[in-house]
Amino acid sequence: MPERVALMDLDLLFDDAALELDVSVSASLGSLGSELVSRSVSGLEVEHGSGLRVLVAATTPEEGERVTATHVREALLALKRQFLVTVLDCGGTFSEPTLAALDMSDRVLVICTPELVTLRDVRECQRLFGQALHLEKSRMVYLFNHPLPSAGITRRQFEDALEQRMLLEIPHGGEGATKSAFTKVIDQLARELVATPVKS
Amino acid sequence: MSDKTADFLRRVDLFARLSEGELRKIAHALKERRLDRNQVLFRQGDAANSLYLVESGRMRIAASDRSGREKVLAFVGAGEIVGEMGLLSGEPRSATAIAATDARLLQLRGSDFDALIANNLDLMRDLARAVVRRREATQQRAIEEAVSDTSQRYGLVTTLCSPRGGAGTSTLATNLAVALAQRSPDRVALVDQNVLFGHIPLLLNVTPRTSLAAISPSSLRQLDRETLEFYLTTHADSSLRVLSAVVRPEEGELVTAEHVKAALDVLRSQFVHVIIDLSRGFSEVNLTAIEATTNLLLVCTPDRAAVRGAVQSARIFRDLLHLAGDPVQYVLNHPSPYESLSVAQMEDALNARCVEVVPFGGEAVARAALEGNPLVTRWPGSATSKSIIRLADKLEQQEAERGYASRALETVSA
Repeated sequence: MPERVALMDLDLLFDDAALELDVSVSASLGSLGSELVSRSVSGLEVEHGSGLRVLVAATTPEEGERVTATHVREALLALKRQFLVTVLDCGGTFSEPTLAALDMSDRVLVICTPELVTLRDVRECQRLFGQALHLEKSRMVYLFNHPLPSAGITRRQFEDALEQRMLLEIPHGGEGATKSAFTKVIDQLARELVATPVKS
Repeated sequence: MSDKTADFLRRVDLFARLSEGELRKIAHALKERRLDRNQVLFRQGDAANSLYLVESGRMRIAASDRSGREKVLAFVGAGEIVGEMGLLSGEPRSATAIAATDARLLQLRGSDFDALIANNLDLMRDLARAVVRRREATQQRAIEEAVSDTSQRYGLVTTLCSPRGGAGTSTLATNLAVALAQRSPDRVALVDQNVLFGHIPLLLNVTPRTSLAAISPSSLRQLDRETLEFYLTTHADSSLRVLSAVVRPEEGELVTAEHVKAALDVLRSQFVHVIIDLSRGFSEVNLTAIEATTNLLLVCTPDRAAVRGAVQSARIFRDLLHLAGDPVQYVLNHPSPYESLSVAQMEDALNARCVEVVPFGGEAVARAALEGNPLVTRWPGSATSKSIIRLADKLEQQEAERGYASRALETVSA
């Protein structure tokens, strides 16, 4: 879906997504100051060679401090109008901007890694998502990711402890081959997410 | 027993000057003892009738004071001896020896020991030196504790942080603190300053009963060592004390910069080393910890994003905090077997030498985390453990030099 997908990097410290995609970002949500995004995000996003549009919350930690929940809501409303799919990469915190993003997301993909500490953290997230944020369980999708070649616990153990099935298991990608098992699973994930309707 | 044991004895410093014939005689006299973790070898007050060589594993030596409070005196590892003092003095055991890990020991009975030293003056001298060194270390520690009781001396604060998640910061902080605690029993504290999801209790398999969030900063400042212990969790295998910022993510909002300042003030007055595992970000809570830090170890992974994050972080620390000197040092960690930048490329990009390069630890790191048993005690011989132990040695050296410097200053002032 060229030019119909956007990626928003909501890490409030560094724009690692832009670095990873090797695109040069000149503006961010944090650089807007109190100005609101309102109707459009054009001027903030940059285009990757794949057609993906990339928008970052902050290019430096100082910019990250200026990002508010309102910025995120406005930007997401604008992105929703312009793009069929918007993917948000949230940092590992429960800051106001992150909570706003979670609140406005149709699906929340919870990335689980095969470690005991992650299992404990995901259980805590489940509790917080339900009790404090009132996120419906139906919005949550769990993925079992292997960022390293070693694993402490298996997918089955993780699922049993969490009492939750994983949608997919993402194998370790090694040093990155384009036709790797990793790429195939990511492609499958993209297809499943696009094919499954969401409640609006 | 003989050949394998004689090979082992050749590597023991105490026996380095013995002839092959003497080593073989000792090897024949030794009896193997295997201990499970937490099994007692001998207790304080027992009659002393043997000494022991640690072939593998680690022993914890502890003694109780008059009030019955137990104090860890030392950890003794492979190649070291246990129980020599009682044999030399003929007095009952002055301390209790417990296996801190599964351990294999070689027992030398008192009669064989007497026969051995009767015919070997060099061995007697070496043994006497070992006893004197151990006594000196105990006395030095008593002096340092007396000084810390009157709050005249402050411990060395070392903070580990990373601009990126998944860099292995908590694993490094935990193992570094354990390695230090094994050298300086009861005198090392580890602060888990992640105000959302602290991982250190799981990595050490301990359960904190309370957290920093549960104490007011003013109460914190009133604590002496004994009352402070209530808020700390002891990792029994190493004697390390752990202070958790939170036990539940909801508590994170309660932790303020004042909490951190008060906690570090009191910890620095009671411990020789305070290690802080800092979460990502530049919150007031994090900046307060960094302001109190002597060594700031920025943990980097070998990739472009880490370089960019490290350079930006160092800039912010310098610009925002106007830190005295330059406490920022870089530790290059390999949490995965791949690297997109070599050590030389990283150092060029950072414009600094890395204080330590920690190699990839393979499956052992994941297994250690799953078992709640730190890598440096579970697999002390691994390349990753050795690298962390080297880092601990550098901090020990720095603390020793700092101690001498402060004592010298006190002498000049007096």
